[in-house]
Amino acid sequence: MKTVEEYYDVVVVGAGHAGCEAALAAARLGCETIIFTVSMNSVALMPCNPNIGGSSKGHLVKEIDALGGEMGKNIDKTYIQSKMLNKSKGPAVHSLRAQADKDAYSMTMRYTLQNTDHLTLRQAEVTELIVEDGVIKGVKTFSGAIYHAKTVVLATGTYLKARCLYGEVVNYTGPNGLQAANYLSQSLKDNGVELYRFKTGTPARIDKRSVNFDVMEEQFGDEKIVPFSFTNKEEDIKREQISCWLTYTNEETHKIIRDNLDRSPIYAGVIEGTGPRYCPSIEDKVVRFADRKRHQLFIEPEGEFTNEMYVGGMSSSLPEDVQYAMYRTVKGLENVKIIRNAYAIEYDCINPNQLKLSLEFRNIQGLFSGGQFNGSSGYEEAACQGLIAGINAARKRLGKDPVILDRSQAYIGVLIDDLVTKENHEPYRMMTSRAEYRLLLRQDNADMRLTPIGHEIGLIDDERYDKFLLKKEQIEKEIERLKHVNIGANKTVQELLESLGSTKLNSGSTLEELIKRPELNYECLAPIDPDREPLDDDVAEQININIKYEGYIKRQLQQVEQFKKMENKLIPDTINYDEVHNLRTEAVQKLKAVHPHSVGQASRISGVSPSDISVLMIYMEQMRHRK
Amino acid sequence: MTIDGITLNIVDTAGIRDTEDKVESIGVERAKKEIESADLILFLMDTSVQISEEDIEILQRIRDKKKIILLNKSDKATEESGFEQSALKEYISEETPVISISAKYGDGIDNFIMELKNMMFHGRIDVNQEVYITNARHKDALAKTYESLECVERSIEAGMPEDFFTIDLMNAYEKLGLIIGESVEEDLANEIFSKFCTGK
Repeated sequence: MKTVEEYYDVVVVGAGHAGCEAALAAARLGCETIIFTVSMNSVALMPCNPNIGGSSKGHLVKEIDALGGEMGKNIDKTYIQSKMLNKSKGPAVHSLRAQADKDAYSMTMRYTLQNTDHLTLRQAEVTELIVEDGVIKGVKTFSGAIYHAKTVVLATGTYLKARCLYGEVVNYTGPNGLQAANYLSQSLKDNGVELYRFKTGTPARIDKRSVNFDVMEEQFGDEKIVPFSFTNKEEDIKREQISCWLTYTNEETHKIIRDNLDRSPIYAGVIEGTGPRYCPSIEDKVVRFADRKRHQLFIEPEGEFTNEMYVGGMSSSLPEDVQYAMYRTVKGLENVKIIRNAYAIEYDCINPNQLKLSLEFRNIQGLFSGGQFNGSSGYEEAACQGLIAGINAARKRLGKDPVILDRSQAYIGVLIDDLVTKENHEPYRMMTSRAEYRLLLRQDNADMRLTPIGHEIGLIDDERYDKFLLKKEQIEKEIERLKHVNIGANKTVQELLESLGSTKLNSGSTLEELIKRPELNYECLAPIDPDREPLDDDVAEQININIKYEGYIKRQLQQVEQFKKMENKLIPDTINYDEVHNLRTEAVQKLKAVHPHSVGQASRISGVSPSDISVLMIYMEQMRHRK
Repeated sequence: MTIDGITLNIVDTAGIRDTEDKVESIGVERAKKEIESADLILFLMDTSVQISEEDIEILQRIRDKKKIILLNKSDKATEESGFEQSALKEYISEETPVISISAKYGDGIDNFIMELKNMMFHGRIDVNQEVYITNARHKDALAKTYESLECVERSIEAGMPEDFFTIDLMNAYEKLGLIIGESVEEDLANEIFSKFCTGK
């Protein structure tokens, strides 16, 4: 029988958030790329929460955009509500979150894929990797078709040997009843890839018409919209927003859950996978925080043209009857109708310690991976890995060095370094507390940090780059100017200061010094700064933050300098840890397993102590002397 | 250095004698100062020769200090050498330990250490109760920790969000970590190579 055989530069397996970014990046860098999905209706699917961004995830989306990825642009086109979170806190933790119209999000991304040059979108299940002598050669699909490729990116999400569970019900499907991928796991094992089994879960979707919103608190979007993409201005994307609603569980809810715990597949031991501690099911919350009398629930629209609402905060795998009973104890949900049941999903993923920081498998050349397949959780975490995997798969094809972002450059760098370096036994979720250099890695300056890199890679075109350079110049010039604008202690100045609750001037000051006062900022001093040229909001924001927090930023930059010294101490590939005297056995095992790229990375491996690092550095120095 | 858990900061001084040599006289002056501030004097005498006037002068100078007299070169001490141990009695009290040792062969060193510990543990050495920082690196780390903690204090007082003062808190933590070995700085290997020859 004749089989179909095609040739590509890059094959991407899976068209979720990771796969889409990977395929777009590779195609945009000029590689002939094909992306496989089990269903054309599940491209960039949001099978769980209906929002993009949020605490630290918003940072990831802005970084993806700054590098030339698609997620930020796609959500800007399809959001139905936008909010900057944590505004009462410092600028490091401000996080943008948008509610998405799920269908629109998915369709818009599919449209983008289908209209990108060098990119083919194909519905088929990939069942086998073709590997020869440790080098990837292509993939085989269920029909037997062979797709030859120079590099392959795996982004299978939660589909590998997936099964969905609630109560006694088990469906051998991927999320949302979609076909699972049941063959690829075996092919991975045959090629020596170590697999983990993780689980996650999602709440029920309910009918809007069965909800009593009158007893809930309405959650509005922001009036001032901050776009995710640096290519958009507020006026480009401003639109009418749709509200979310806040309500709470209560003790009756918790009692029903406790009484039925034995019917939960997780507590009954049917599920073997490890779930995310940071995104617990309602059963977990009730058990782990037994003293809490209520938990917040957000009722969020799934889109503009659907009556489905998402019950945020109440994911579960309890049986259908218990789901009805518990949801109906919630204020406003007394008569709720469920459209889709809550469920837990279990799937195969890999131990990401098998990857290099470029997201290429150490033992299979040319094979890259990203997203939940790598043991992460969340759309944004997936997308940013997909982007990096796609870029590096393309660069490998083009004979270029991989792009690796470090922990001082981006949350993306923190995420990938954590995955590849540390032990990870549950779906990995991004959090601001994971980043050491938070004050530098803000969501507002992602373009300052990463757009030059995106341009160099080739995903940011010259037009966008020129705009970026102009913005940068405006910021620098204005900061310099403010240092030299002297303000006298005249009546207008004193009155303004007084009205802003600030101390009056004794003698002169510069505008820069005034901006540094906690109660003042760049914006509010406009009346005493007549020479000021009008600047865009995002430019003004950079000026303000850079001046106000100059001292802190400088000190954090010094920390980064120290950090870089350790990162720049590269460990030779040929190192034999057995030869390093005085290294503890545990450290030897861990170092062999992770194979760190630098001493800095080695120091972050759990089980490798500071004294092991000292020993390693002395050994490396001795080796250097010997040469 | 540490002997059986006792941390000692030992200063090897120049011999004390009258000299016209400028450089040497600086050393002598320094030695005299060290005698003033030391908790314990280890007076090393050469038993292969007679007690000199300079020795006597030193004994007089350290009359009121806690001390151990170490009679070195016990291996060479013979009657002919003319060293009269009894002559020391005039200058030292009865409790002052006098121990014969041979630095060359290690004889008597055990006795010396035993005596040292006795004096320490029985409170016969009046050790300054203040905490001593014996390592310049540690001193530097502590100074920087202090500086950073002051920054933290100022930030908290100014009502800054935690992401700001954690910068300085981390700095303080890292510096303290250097002392107890919880953090490692990149120049560690250089530091070690500058102090020791670790061979090739």
